[in-house]
Amino acid sequence: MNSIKLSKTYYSTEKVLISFYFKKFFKSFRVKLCFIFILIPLAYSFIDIQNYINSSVEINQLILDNSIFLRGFLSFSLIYYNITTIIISCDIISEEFSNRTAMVLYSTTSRKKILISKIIFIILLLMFFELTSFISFGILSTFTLGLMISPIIFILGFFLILINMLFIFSLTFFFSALTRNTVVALLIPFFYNYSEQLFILSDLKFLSYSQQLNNLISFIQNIITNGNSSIKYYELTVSFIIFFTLPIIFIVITFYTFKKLDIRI
Amino acid sequence: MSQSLNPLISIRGLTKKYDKLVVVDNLNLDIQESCFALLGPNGAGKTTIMLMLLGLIKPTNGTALILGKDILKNLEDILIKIGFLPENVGFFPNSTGREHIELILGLRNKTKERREATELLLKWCGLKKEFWDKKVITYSQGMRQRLGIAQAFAGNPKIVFLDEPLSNIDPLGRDDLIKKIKEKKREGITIIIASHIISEVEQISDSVAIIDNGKIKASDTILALAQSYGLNEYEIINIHDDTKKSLIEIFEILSSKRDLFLEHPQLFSEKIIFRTNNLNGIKKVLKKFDNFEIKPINGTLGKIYIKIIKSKISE
Repeated sequence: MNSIKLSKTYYSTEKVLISFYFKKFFKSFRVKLCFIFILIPLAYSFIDIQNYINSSVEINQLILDNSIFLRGFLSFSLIYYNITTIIISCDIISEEFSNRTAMVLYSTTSRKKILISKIIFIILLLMFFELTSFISFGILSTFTLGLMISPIIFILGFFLILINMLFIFSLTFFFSALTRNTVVALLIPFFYNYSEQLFILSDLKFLSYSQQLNNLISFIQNIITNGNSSIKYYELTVSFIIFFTLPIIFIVITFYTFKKLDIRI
Repeated sequence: MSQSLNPLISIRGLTKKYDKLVVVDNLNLDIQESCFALLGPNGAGKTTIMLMLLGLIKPTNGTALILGKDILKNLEDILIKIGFLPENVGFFPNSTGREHIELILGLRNKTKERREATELLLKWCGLKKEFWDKKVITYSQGMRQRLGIAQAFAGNPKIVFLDEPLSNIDPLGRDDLIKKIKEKKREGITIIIASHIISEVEQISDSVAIIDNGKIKASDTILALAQSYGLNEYEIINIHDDTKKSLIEIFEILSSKRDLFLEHPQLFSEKIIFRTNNLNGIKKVLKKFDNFEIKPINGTLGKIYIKIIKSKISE
């Protein structure tokens, strides 16, 4: 074989992996499924806006920001974004074990770099889907109502939903890495997602992650409408801490445990 | 294997236990630049040794130095210089052969010339061009194995670990891949093979460690092992090209040195076979012929292996 002199480039391992994951994802059927899931809340919102237009209520900035965007679009979106997150990330680790690529992949570079690449890939992908959906909503509301959502509300909503998706991802990532089984990594977050309402109804609100998100959204809504919040200070602090730290905790635990695992198929 | 000053791989007290089951037991081994084989029955611990050296499995005790670096401390630096073909290699089913090689090249060498290097590797491994851009899911088992071997050698690694490299390959393909692996060995790449197929190991390797129950039963060059086990049938083969003329020339020289042999040497189309107790004497005679290699005849390693396993049973 004529060997070729190989030279180093500025591409880092992470860049190579992330671009490979993107290529692989956009070739898979899941991409269509994800687009369908982000279109559903848009369709709901369109109907919602039409109902407002047909009613006698005069639509102003407050109604758009508070009722149509925060209470309407974001609430509709949450469930579908969570499903999209689970679909994207359920096989993030387990796939390499089911198709036996793990041994080759993990023998070329460090596990830390591979895991970081996976996390960056997922965050970028989630941001892409969320941004697509949010911008579509923005265009929809501007064209149908002639009003634009307040930028601060738009950014806050985007950020809160992204953190919520990161929590679902961290949960899925955790089970995908620990069990190396796609079905388990799909079912447990899915089951959790649907059992949250049970937690809320049975007074175990602290077990529901989306309850923390609801507290934060309610706080923002109260600030917009009344200028002050009716939510207790300590409750808000607890929600804030849980909401922001839980995804990080799950990701750190996954890192720590996966680094110790034997990669043997 | 005899220990020397700067071995490429130096294994020190490597142990792997799963609860009370000892899979690899206090392994000490030095591996030099060559083609080295870990030979042993199924479950002997060959794959576990490889996986520990690659950092895929954490050793219970001990460590190893690869290219002078500790696998427990500098794994990332080591991995970039190592290739690996696992047993039953897997690929992302919806990606193409080209994409896989490009990925491995990117991870290992960060090369700018990825496209060109990928095509050279795909051509080298014998994968038909029409399959380069087809999804791996459409590949036969043999094609996957070829792609697996190509990815193991991607990025000019210094050491390549091959775990049962010729499994799932038909006899013709097997001969072809043996030639290709030997070619890489001549290019200076150190190859470590784990296999339970003796004939495969014998054709490719210079040195061998026979492993059973996680312990080394014997380790040396095949030539030295043959001598120490009293097996005195050897062959002279041309290691570069088929210059039969030189082979005849060697045969004529050897024929005039009757006292070196137990029986008169025999000339075949590609080799000379002889029996001797004075291998050093024959080596001296052949000193000026650097295109030729003396090795024990095919089947010798099998005889050594049986002797070692038998001695284990009688113990």
